[in-house]
Amino acid sequence: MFFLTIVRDYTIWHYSTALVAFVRLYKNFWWFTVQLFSIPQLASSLFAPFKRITERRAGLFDIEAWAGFIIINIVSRLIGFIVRACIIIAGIGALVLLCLLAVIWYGIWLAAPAIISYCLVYGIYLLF
Amino acid sequence: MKTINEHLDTFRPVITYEENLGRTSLTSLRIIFFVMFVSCLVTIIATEKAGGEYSDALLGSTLIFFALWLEQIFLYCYHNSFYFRGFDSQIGSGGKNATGISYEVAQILLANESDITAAFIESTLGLETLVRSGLTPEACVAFVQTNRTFLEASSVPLEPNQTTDVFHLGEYIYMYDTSFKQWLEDNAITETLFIGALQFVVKNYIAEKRKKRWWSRDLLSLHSGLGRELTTGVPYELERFSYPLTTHDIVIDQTSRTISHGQIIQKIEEILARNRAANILLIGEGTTEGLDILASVQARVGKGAGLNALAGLEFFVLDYKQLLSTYPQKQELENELTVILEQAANAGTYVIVIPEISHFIREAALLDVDVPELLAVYLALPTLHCIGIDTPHNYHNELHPNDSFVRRFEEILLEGSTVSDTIKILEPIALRQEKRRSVLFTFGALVSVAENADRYLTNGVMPERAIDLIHEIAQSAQKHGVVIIKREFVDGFVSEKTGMPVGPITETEQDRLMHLEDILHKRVIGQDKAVSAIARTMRRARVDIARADKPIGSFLFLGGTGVGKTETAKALAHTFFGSEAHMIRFDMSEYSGEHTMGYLIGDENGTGALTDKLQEHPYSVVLLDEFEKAAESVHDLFLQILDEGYFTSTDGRRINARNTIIVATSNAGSDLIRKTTAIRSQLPNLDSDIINHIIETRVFKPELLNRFDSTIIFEPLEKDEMTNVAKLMLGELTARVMDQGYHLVVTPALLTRLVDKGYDPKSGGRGINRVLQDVLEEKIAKKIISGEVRTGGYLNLDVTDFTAEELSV
Repeated sequence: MFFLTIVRDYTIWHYSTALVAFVRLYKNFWWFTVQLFSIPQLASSLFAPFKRITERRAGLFDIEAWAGFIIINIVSRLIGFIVRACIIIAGIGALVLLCLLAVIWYGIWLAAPAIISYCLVYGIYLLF
Repeated sequence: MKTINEHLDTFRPVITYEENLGRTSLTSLRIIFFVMFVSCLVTIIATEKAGGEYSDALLGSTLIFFALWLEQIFLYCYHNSFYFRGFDSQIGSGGKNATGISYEVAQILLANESDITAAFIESTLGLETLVRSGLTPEACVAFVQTNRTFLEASSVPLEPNQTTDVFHLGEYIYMYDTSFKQWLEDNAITETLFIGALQFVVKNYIAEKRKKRWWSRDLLSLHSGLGRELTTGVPYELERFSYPLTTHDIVIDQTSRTISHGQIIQKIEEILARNRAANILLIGEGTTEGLDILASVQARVGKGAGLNALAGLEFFVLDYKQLLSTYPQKQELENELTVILEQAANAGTYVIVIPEISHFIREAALLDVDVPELLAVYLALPTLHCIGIDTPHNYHNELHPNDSFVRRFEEILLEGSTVSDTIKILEPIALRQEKRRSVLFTFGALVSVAENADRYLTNGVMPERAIDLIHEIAQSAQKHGVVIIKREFVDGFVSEKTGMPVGPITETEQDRLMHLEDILHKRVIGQDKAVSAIARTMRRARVDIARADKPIGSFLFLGGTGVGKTETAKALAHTFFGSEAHMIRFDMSEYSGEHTMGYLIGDENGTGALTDKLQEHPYSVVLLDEFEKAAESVHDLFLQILDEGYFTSTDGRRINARNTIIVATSNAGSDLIRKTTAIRSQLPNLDSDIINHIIETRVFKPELLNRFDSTIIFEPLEKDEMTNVAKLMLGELTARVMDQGYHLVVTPALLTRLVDKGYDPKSGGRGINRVLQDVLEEKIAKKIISGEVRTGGYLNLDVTDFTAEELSV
């Protein structure tokens, strides 16, 4: 009797509460991935100098210093952009992967009874 | 809304399932099936690669183990969904569907639905609560078996807006099961102790359970962002000489953070959110409180609950001692410090916390490094935040004089930890000590540690004093083979450490307190009213019904010379602190000038006598002789000491006087006392008349007199009382003579004669003392010197042994 109750309760949970809970769980992992790759921070500072390395602003008539200031700034910002863009792309890749995994997981979850039954029956058949 | 029974029905299958297998067994099964599945799969792949053919049996096993593993994963998810039901509500993270019951409550109630008290007591959490309340498991079993009325599971009310957890269940049982409550009361467990223990156990359980939820946001947020490190850079040098605040000893359990610092936390957040000069100096007695508050700020920032401008901020505690020992040369240290600050400023998301900042500055100055000057440039930057923590004493003496440096900081004064804050801080520390030393602290023991450290220990500051004490106690318990540390053990330890009677009154002490008058009378002759007033005050102080924020007792003894004022103070020191050595004596006539205040509490030339002596002997009788002669400013100082039990020395230290008995003596009004006591029977309000006279003559301000627990009039001694005083003095003399190897025997006739000669109401006992010295001691000295009596011989003295001349000296 207990076995039947638990199978009944489990089945109801498997196709109702669990599906909602996984959405919540999925949101957590999505949030974590976004935080791990710092995507919003990187996007908002996409063109900022790399590791905040900049040259001090030069005096008004010091052309050489001005040139140094502009070049260093451009190079720093360019490197910053490349590094940040790479991380953002990697982050987006991770999010896409997360989406894929979610789809696969949902697929396995929905088909779980069939998968388990098939593996067990066919496994026993092969064994004996 | 579901009823409690409906909730229980929901939990029933999963709890029955866990009862049969257990959460640990389920985890083991999951691991075994996974390992078997992977092993089979690897064998298949290896066989394939080797060009061989795997058997059907191997493939079958792989599929079976895969199915079993998958099934276990699903069951794990199923179980977790019940196990963590309402958990967000329990940890205060909100969450939907917060109402209902927690897994543990369901587990307890389903264990015995008709007797939930028994179920609670027999549950792991319930039993731990009772053991931490001070009961033994055997006593709990015995109680369960008694004949009592039962509370049913269906009667448990559901909390309206939150999950009903074990804390609510325990509270409900305490409130509504009268036999349970009575049983606790019979075992001296008050509501505060039981609820405190329950809270402690549940909080600890939740903290442990929280660690299992690896998929939750609070645990996922512990990983730092990859992108941030690659773009803003990691301040490697800062990380080399500092550690994240989140790893500090006190930051173990975020749920135990004190909530009493709400306003300070808000202020810190506001300052850190500024664009410029967002630096703070936290000034408080000790660093723990400051770090504790900063840990709360860090936790809020981590969870995104703090101000938006603070997002991503990380608090690092600078280990300046390591920095100084690694770079002991001026140039090296300056370079390293500059690099640390430069890197942190470049990263832009760091808050450097420097505990005991004045120590760092002082020690660096020994290497000729000017830390304030090095810091100055960076303190003005919007990308670097610095928080210094220091004591008022150090702030006053070392930081404040450097005005340009201090101006870069916003100062925040910390109020100091209360006893209840300290208990919360002690809880995680106690748990770590328990693991380390295989002991268990009852909640009463923790309360006792916090209270005793606050009241009786004077070295250091709170809560550090309590933290040190709990370490010492755990060590002592381990050494003495004590497993469960109860309140009595803590009290005994503190008593031994301080010499103060602490905790429940022992039988010997009970006897001593009940007969305090008799004990004092062994040394103090007459003065019944005075002795009785002192005994009453001391009994009140011992049972802790007197205010704890004042000295143990304070008395003003009024009366002429030689009436027993000083002797009473000595007797008090002997009775209460075990020895006359615990008496600090001040001749207040030395502090009659207004400029003499510095001699007491210190000045620019050094520390004061009162400051020094109270620090050397914090548990003592402070005797203030001839108090009326002290300057008005000195009277005002004692006004504060009598009222609050502490004073602040000139250098800003808070000096504790709460473990002292203050006795001020005064001759003020002694003439009036002498005159009026002679006609006592005609003056029913004699005492108040004398006190009024003292106020009218402006010897003491009325508010000062009111601060004393008792103003006691020492009446002039009658002649028969004087005879008893003489007997006491003679007893002391006999003992001294005995020490030299002679037996002194004085006849009653001689004693009466000496009392007649020495009796003078104006000089009291002093007159008798003088006669004993001039007549008796002189005679003894002559007899010994002349060889009239040999060592071991008897010195029998009678009136007839003295000439008229000798007696008239």
